[in-house]
Amino acid sequence: MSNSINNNKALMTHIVLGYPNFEANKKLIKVMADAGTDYIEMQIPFSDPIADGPTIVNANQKALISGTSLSDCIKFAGEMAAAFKEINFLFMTYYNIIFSTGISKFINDVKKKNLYGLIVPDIPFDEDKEGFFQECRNNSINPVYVFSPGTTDERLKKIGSVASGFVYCTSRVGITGAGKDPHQKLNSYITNAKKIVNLPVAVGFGIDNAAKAKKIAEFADIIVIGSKVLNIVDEAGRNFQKPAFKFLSDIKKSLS
Amino acid sequence: MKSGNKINPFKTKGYFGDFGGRYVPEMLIPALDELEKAYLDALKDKSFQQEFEHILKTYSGRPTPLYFAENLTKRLKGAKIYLKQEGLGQTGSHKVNNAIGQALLAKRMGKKRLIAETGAGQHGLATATVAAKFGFECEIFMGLTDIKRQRPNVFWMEQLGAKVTPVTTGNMTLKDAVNEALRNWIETLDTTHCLMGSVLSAHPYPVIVRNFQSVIGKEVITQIKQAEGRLPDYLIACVGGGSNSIGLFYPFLDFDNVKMIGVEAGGLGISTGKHSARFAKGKLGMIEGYRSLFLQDKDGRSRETHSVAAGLDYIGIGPEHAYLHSIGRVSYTSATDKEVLEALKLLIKTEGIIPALESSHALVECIKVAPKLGKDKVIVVNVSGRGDKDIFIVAEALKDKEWTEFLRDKIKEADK
Ligand SMILES: Cc1ncc(COP(=O)(O)O)c(C=O)c1O
Repeated sequence: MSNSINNNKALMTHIVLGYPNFEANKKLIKVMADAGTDYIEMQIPFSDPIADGPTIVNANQKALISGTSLSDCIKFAGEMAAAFKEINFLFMTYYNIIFSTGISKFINDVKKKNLYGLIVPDIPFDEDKEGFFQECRNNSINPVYVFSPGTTDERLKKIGSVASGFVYCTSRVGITGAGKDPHQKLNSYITNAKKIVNLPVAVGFGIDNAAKAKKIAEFADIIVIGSKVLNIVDEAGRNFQKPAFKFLSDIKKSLS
Repeated sequence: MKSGNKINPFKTKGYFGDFGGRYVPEMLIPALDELEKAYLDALKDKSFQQEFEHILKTYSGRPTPLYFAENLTKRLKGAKIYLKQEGLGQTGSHKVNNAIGQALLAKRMGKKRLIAETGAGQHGLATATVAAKFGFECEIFMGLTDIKRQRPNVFWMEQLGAKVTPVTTGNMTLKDAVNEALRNWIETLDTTHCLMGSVLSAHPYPVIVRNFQSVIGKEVITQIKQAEGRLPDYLIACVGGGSNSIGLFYPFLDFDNVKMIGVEAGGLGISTGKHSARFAKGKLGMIEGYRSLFLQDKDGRSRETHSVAAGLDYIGIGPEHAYLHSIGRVSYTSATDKEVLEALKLLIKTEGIIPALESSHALVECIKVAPKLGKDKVIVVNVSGRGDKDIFIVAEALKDKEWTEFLRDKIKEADK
């Protein structure tokens, strides 16, 4: 898991659990594994995903309409973590899902399923009344913190102290979605941030081709691909495996 | 007079007791800090307050009247009923108070564009209005369900030059519009001020909106002292996000003898599950940027809500209300759609005042409370808006045949 030392940069991909269904999730994870994906963020669908753009919002909504429950998601995650041991699985979701379950219970469930970490974009460290970050770290579940260019050095210092595993910087100030250009000074921002947080930095949001990935991998440790794979799956319908594999393996190649 | 009910969230990191805060993506923190700083600067600037008051007076027609509803009082045979007539101001509801205040703030921050969420369309209308007046570009996010039921407001927003963007996620109502406004804001922080319309979302919105709306309660203090020589016994207001109610309540909070009642949307009845009664059925959580009570399912997702009044059809409650409820300072109740229509008809017939469906919720409670009180008691009801916007919903609910015919004729004409 020492991506920052290795010259090969890691790849993290994203799926929305229950969209279009768990069967398709499983097939897509297999494709991701075959393409050499290192981390997979599995999003537990939420009713009010404020950090997400149209592609992922739509997937969240469809997953909820088809009745995807939290316990389905946890069960499925456990199966995937057991089946694909070479991959680090994370849950991505919004804080209310965790809060409503109970912080300890949720983290304990995640731990039992051997997941790597949690990405929760709407719990800034200042609001952590329940001791979420501490509880994660105490249980060896990495709380991956999401920030963005514009987050001050002062806050980065705190972020470095509450996060573990790696941190996640958005490529721009915006919501998720393919086809948008990264922040103009992303390179120098990330280089500075890395020194402060002292953890590997994943960069995501809007990375939708191998050239962009390669460029960002010059300074990032992990490249995150989210909406673009969903777009490919949405467009290809049932036969998404081939185009998804081609896209992801091209990205992966560009990182080595 | 006692103290302790009033909280200054600038000193508590945005919390009212256990409620409030900033449960937002990290990338919104700098924008919220910028807003907080701009607001605190403005508070120190006398000319800001003067300009705000001047516009409220000359443009919006403040102070709005506090009207003694003599006929209604006689009819109910109990306490004296006063109506705070927020519907008589510019744009027809209290929403404009906050829109003017925040537009002035946006100007100070050098923003070029205003965005807002809206349910009933009253806040969207208020925002589009101040955008036209102050020369901002403007985009309003509104759930498709609400666009369909509040068309007159959509029409006027567009005439005012705003772009009205339909929101098609979730329930397609107010909470979905809030989400979409926040998303759009994240994308446009540099140029745009998000003009939140109620006392909800992340700090500093709840306190800023409350302070701008407090003009309602401050005026009532002066007006009721003039009329009655004393403070009222009861204040009653409807509660969507909670801005008109907190605007009325806040200046009275430390007067312990003044009882306050907030009225939520009981929809088809609490037992049907189709309502927006957060105090009856909500759980603590953090959705749309703040910690408060929300209507949610067992996994922590927001539940579908319902109300005949689009402005009350919402999953969460402003954090200050959750606090005032927790300390028992304000009590909260609900009114069903059916009761609301009856109250609306009664006010129209007795006083010749057409209240908004939202405000009619407060009247339901007034109708229940007034007869139980002695004639020496005084109730102030906030009529947060006028009902013109609701003509389609009310006509349909009252099954008015002539109205239906009128609509048919209009369609025929339009098709020609
Ligand atoms: C006339 C009127 N009253 C009340 C409300 C509810 O909002 P709040 O609780 O913030 O006053 C609305 C919202 O649209 C409204 O239009």
